[in-house]
Amino acid sequence: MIEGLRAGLATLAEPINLLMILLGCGAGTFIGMLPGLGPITAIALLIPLTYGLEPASSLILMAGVYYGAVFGGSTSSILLNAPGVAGTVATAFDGHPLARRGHAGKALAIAAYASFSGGTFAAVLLLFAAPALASVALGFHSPDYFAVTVLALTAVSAFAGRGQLAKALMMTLLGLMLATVGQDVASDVPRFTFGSIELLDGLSFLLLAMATFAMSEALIGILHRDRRDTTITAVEGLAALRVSRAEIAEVAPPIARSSVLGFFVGVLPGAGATIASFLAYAMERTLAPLRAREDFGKGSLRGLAAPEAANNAACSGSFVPLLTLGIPGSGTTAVMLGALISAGVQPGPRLLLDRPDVFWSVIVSMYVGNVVLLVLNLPLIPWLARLLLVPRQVLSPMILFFSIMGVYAVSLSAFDIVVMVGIAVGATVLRLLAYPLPPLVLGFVLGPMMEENLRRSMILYDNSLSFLWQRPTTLVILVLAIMVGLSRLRRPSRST
Amino acid sequence: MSPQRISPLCFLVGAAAYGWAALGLEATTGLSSSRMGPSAFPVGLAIVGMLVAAWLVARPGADAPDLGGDHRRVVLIVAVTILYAVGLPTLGFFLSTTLFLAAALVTLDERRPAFVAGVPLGTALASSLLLRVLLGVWLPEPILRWLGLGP
Repeated sequence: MIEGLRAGLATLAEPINLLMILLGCGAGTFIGMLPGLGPITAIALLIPLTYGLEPASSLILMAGVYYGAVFGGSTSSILLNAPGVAGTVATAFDGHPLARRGHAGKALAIAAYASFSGGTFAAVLLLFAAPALASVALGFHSPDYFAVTVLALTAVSAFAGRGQLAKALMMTLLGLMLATVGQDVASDVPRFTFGSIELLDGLSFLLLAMATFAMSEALIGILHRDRRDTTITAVEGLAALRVSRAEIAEVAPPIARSSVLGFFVGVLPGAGATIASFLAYAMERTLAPLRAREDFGKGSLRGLAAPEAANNAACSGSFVPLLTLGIPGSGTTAVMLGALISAGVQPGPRLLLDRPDVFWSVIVSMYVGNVVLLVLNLPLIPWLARLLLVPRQVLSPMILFFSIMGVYAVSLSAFDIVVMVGIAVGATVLRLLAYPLPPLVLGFVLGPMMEENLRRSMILYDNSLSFLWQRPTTLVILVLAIMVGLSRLRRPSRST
Repeated sequence: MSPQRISPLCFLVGAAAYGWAALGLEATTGLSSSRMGPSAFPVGLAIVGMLVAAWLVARPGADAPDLGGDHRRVVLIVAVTILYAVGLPTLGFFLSTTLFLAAALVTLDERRPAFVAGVPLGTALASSLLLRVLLGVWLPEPILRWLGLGP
């Protein structure tokens, strides 16, 4: 390993690779900040740039864009409640309320520190445990993945206040139902498309996230624009970047726990940053003392730090199956896999033997990239926070426009925008009726994974549900999910 | 009937309609013999959805809905946004974006002429350049092309 690290450091020390880290982190952060444009778009657009580069340089560039975009995505989540990246949806739950209370600088700074810690912690774990973890991930089968989605769904209880559990459950089911729209993957049967060709591909996550968070936020801002609490008159300056000892003591344990959780969830192919961030949020809310739990959803520092640490750790974790098995753990790493294969590098078990320079330089670049991200972003925070001072009559149309632009740039479909407006109106009504929307997004994200693995398990086990108790891993995860659910029923929180 | 009860009733009807539509789905492959065909998961969701909705109708909770506000302006903004979507393919990205932002600003009581003209034009220009030049995204611009101004 020491030899590998040396080789990685030597490769990374080449000026072109240092430049790629800077370029990747900078471009990723910028693109991630734009609501609607995520890491997949950014990496896909940068692929032509990588053709003339060495494989190690191109992977370093793409990795930089990846975690830069996740890092930047938290900025639009916190400031505008517009998560352009699925992994930063949970960041908005407490980040945006903090910003609305005039602590945008503090929220962005805590998010930056948590991301840095999560990313760095995961890079160290990756260094020591990548090959061993790859074999564990390979041992996960369809029943286990189904159990993981059930466990992740128990996170909805974290978004339900007293008497709201049924509402949270209803929203989860609505999200799961929306996820079934489109052509069925297994049988090619169109489901709930009403004969529309545009709906055959289903609804995109980006469309749903933008409509339920960003656009409904803009519509509620317009609806309540005469109310004083919707107007922000001042934001903190550079002083906001200072974190007190009490605040460090408050967020350090959640960051440590969420980093570990995020990394291990990220290692599982298909799970990724979104599930990691939701699970981390739910875990921290469950573990928090009763008084601190009441702050969740209203601007809790723990509620902000946990998903931020988890999503960055999961990004690093998703490189384990990519580098060691050649299996992409997420959509973004799938695009990277394609780019690497086209560059003549086949990620997999032999990568460590055949191209140690590529393997180790990527791992080392993750640590350096996290430092670069922190250095690049901290000085910008007071300036970014001033975005909230833009008057509501200007900010609301801009939020609507950037949400639409993000979706239109990907799909070029006017139909998608009309659907998006319809969902935004529905989401606005639901928010006014006190229905929590995060469970809807969680259900939508988990739906396809849950259905696919349930169907595959049923087929593998001869149309029987015996897979639920025959596989020890599945059983352990399901028991954990039941325990989380029961603990929530026994100890309801006061409000969200 | 209170809004707290009307919304779960809507969910109840919606879940029933969803389940009914799911029952009509037929697999065209060998999977149709499996218990887990394309309709199984949606039917399960519909049943659970109806149960939860019925529970909410019976016990709607104590959260007071906050339905007050400037509804007229929200309806106007929604209408302007739908017009923007409909106009995009015909007018093109640049023109429709400029018109949408100007109309939205006016709807929200922004009356300074230079601001209403300048901000939409600047935003449309900057976003067009960002998408087209930096990110290489193709955008429809039929009118600008017809005028000889577009790519």
